[in-house]
Amino acid sequence: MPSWKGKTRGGLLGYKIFVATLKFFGLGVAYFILRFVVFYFYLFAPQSFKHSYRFYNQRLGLSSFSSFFKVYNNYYKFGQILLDKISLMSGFKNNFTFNFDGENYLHEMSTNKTGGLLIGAHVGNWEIAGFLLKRIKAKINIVMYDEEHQKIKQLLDSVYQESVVNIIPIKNDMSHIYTISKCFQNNEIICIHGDRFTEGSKNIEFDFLGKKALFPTGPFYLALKFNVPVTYVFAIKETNKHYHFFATKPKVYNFKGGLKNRDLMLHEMMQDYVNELEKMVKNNPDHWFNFYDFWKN
Amino acid sequence: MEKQEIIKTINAFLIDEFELDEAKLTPEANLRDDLEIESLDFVDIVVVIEKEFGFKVKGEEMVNVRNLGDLYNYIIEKVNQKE
Repeated sequence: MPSWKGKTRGGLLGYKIFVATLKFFGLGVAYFILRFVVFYFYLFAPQSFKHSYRFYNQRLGLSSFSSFFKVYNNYYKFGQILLDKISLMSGFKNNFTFNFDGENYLHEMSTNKTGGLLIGAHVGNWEIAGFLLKRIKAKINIVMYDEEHQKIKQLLDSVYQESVVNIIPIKNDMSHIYTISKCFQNNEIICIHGDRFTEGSKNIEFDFLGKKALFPTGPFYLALKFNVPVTYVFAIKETNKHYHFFATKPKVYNFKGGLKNRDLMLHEMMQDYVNELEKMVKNNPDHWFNFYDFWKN
Repeated sequence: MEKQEIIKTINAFLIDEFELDEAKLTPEANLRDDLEIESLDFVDIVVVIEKEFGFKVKGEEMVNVRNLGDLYNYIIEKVNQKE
């Protein structure tokens, strides 16, 4: 069963070099160095290469030749977004711009004091949106795995400025569930990914890009359980300095309890999500950042 | 509080909240696999425990609760400690 362990690749020295480059030379130079780093991973990370190649070749139906190039672009886009995130969170000089389809939905969650759940995917990087969306007057919380290597984490924490978003780490003792519950009670906004699960989580199979894939029920069940509006969100990097955010119209599912009802509603919600995700991936194939065999089950 | 009373209270909640068949509620029943209760549902279970049995549940104590028998035993132990 495909799953993700919570750690991304990359060494401490690499991070130090990039943080220093961003600080003293800016994003342009960092992107230039990134080209070489990406080429290294392109050659020496055969497992992720295999999965990315198959994604373009088998799932999107691109030729072998195009797929080879697409994998490189995919890695490069991923690296750029990581650098953008460090640059933004550290307060280094940048001039990012963005536009937002559906921003009013988030404002409504704030002004109507309903709070809400934003379900994203490993397509683009919604975490960046949190830092660019300071004009939304609601507290934004991002639920995520927090298993990065300690030394890398310490390095990044030392350069990051005070965050405008709150990170809720997913923990084995389930304490994050109680934190989420409190956030919803305070009408806050919660962001979580809906396309990745770890061993032991409940999931449902859907047709996704022409083949069955498993999706975790947990993020979707949050919306049912706490009866909050849910919207599906994506953040796409369209040019070096421009992000485009998307949010679908929020929907409240009036869940009355019961396991049969729960499963029916989950299926309906998740089908909506999978449809949106499929559309977004087809339009932005360079932004697919699940570097493992997503369709294996 | 009697053991049977604790079991009755928990079972009544599970039947009411999750529309579970009473015959499924055996001590061996795995909460996730047999009863299809998800980790999120523990929020409700904790609320009921705290309200009905009058003690504070710590998240880490629930990590080892895998089947219904574990849940009964956990509550019985806590209630006995309190008394």
